[in-house]
Amino acid sequence: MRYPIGEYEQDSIRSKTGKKLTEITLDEVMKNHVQADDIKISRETLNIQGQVAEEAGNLPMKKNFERAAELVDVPDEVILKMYDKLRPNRSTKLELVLMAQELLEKYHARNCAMLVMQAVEVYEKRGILL
Amino acid sequence: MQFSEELVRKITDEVMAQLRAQDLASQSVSPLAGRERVNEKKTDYSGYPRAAKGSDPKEVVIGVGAAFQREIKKTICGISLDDVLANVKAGIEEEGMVSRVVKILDTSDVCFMALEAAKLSGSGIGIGIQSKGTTVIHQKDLYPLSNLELFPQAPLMNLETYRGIGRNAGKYVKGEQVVPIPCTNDPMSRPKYQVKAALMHIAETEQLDPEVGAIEWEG
Amino acid sequence: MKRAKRFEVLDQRPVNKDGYISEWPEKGFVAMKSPYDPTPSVVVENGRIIELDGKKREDFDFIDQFIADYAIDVDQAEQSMKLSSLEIARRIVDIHVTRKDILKIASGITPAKMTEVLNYLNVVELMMGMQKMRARRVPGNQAHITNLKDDPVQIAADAAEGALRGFAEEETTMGVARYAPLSAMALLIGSQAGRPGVLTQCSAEEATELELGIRGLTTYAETLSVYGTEKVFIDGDDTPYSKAFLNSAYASRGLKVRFTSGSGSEVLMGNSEKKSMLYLECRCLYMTKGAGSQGIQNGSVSCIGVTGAVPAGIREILSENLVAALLGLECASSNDQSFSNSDMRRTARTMLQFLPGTDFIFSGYAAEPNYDNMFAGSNFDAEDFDDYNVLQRDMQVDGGLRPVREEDVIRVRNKAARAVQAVFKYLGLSPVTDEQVELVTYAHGSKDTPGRDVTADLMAAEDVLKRGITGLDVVRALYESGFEDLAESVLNMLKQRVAGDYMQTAAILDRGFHVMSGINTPNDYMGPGTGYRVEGERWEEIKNIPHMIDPRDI
Repeated sequence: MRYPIGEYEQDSIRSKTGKKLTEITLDEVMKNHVQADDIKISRETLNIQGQVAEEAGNLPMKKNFERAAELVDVPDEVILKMYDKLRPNRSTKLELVLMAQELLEKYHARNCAMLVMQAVEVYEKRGILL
Repeated sequence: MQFSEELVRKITDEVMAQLRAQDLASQSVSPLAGRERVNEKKTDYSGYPRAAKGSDPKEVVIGVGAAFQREIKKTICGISLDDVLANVKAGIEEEGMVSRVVKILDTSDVCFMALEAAKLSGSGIGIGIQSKGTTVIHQKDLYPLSNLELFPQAPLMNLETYRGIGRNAGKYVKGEQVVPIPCTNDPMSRPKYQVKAALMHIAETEQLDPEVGAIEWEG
Repeated sequence: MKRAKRFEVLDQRPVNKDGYISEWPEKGFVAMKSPYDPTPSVVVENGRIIELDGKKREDFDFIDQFIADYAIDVDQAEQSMKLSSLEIARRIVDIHVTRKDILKIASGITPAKMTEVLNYLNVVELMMGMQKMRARRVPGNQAHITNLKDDPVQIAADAAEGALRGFAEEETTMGVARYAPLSAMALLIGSQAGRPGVLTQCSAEEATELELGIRGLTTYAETLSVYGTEKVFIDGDDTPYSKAFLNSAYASRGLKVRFTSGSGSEVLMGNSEKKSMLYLECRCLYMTKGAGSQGIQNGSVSCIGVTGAVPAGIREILSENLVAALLGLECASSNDQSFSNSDMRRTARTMLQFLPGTDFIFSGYAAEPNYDNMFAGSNFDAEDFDDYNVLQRDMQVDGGLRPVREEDVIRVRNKAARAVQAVFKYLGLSPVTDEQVELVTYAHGSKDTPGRDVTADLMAAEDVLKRGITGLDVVRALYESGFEDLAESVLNMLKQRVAGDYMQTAAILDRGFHVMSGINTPNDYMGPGTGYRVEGERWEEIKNIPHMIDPRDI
């Protein structure tokens, strides 16, 4: 895959719903053939961007793209709720552990679950759990 | 090879440590260096009644800063805090609502102060006022750093603004469509006031007593 | 004392209206180096950092722990930490050492070591470092687009003019937070009327900002704040872990994001743990890096009244910017907040980023008069446009802006205002009168415009959220109202999130929506004769300012 993939790999990029990048045109929008979900990034594309970051020597950024790929299918309101739960003094240890479990089991978000578990450990140590 | 590298490192470390010690000594030329607090004394609030959760649906709770009317008596631009409080209360009463004042000792952050006041308030509407004059109107179910109205530019506020804040808080309680108080903006207040703001905030933070939490302050 | 007349004159100079304070390390009023800053150290055991800058793992606060686990390349640490700080400083300014080599070294050093390295560089060396370490080949610029009335029509017009003048990114915020959906929408439309491809952002509370982004009413986000002490971070209602999660959330929706931080915030929020501003800012930047963010807005930002008040404060600000670049982050280098009454002082401060060039020299040049700047005033504003253009021309430096013709500005302002009028009408939001369109088109600031019906606007703003209006609805509204080209541009902006190329480091878009980032257009400066130079078409554009003497008129 050659970066920028939006230019060099136009034909192979698909959105979250599987729509081809080349199918997202003004014409199609006006015919009501394009919905808001069609203009969302896919898991695959995020992983490609992760590779791009890795090749550029940026490992933390690659990890971020991995977590992002895992969150593609998590609904907006769930994401917002999870973010809020991760803020200081918002959750009990159990709530955060359950959140990690939900991420892992329901969304197969292994890296995100790991981030949450690390947060649990350090939040407990620093006294910012409920 | 390895041995000599290690030796070099050891020497470098030692030199750095010495230089740092020298720095410590030379830093003391600053007239402020070495001081730990703005105010040497800390007020003891442990004997004060703890702030209770109100039940009157007409109530607006005003949460004032830890140093309010005690270590700090005037806002950043010199308005008396007694007058500030009197005007906010008058504004609330003009709308037919009831005010109660508490002093927040857990936090000096104005948004968290206001949220705590809102949570103590019978109506769920609260106002946070820092001793430097920065004010927020909050509602108990909003995100802490969100708000109904925020007045970050304390240097530009006058008593009429404070009265308006009280009135608007009263209106939020009544569930009316509220026209927010028009914003004011002075791009040159930062150079003039920010250091002062920092010092006032430090002075306020020094007076925090999270063990005590929030106390009934007056009214 | 009988006063000397000269002193009386000097006392009245603008520079003496600024606030200054002596160093006071106990309260964090110290720029580059505090006697309480830790000694650099790192100990790795079984691939895990168990000691960082003199602290054992069991004593780590959440910042230390996040940095240790996410931000420092453990495989590189030993090798990098072996180099003396002086040696690293020298390599930064050595034109024979590549940017890539420096990035590698920097990936393995600790925040305290980084602080030490930066202390070896004077401002000219810091600028040399920045010239080499900036991520993108060509520098860029970002505008603030705001007004005192939160008037969406003026936002659109100012956004159009700003885009035409060369800003690659535009950011808005509100006096009244609930205006956010309308502000974001107006900015999106207006920016594209000025120059297709300009990225837009609406600075709001974290959750709101994310929601606006997800809906496609903004195209990037910037307000992911991080702080250098645990206590202040908690006051900011976040942790590095929640911020990292939020960063991933944005990326999962295909949005460009940068974090924001800046020295002085810990002092202002009353808890600096006696550390220097630079050390605390290093901690912020390491967290930003560790969270996998592509970039940062930093350089004291809104706390410059504090950093600017202490000795070497302005040197510290450039140091922070350079640390960001050393960690491989896109750097939007502040200059976005008024900090001095002295024109001399505020210009000098900006030269430190303007001359070497950063990814965004301003992270908010007020593209409106400063009385309308709702970030409480920027260091440069709309009234400085021509000064700035002349500075670019005087020094043959690319500051990201260009001279424009009055008729072009009027045209794009009018188009943007009409487009917002049409979209609001199509979507059934608060009405915009023809009179308002006309007044806003020719306005300098909100003093020249009629007020809005705030109640109606706020109801409309709420309506946008309730009805779930998205960027796609804006595209349709524009198209149906006869603004096909703007519809096309807004759609193209939305499409960026499907490919995600603009999430890579320091990405901006040209008018053909081509991504230019640190990946495909990396900074390749290696001394004289290399790197980006102002020449060709761009130089002709910069040269061509208005108000030149025409020999034929004599």
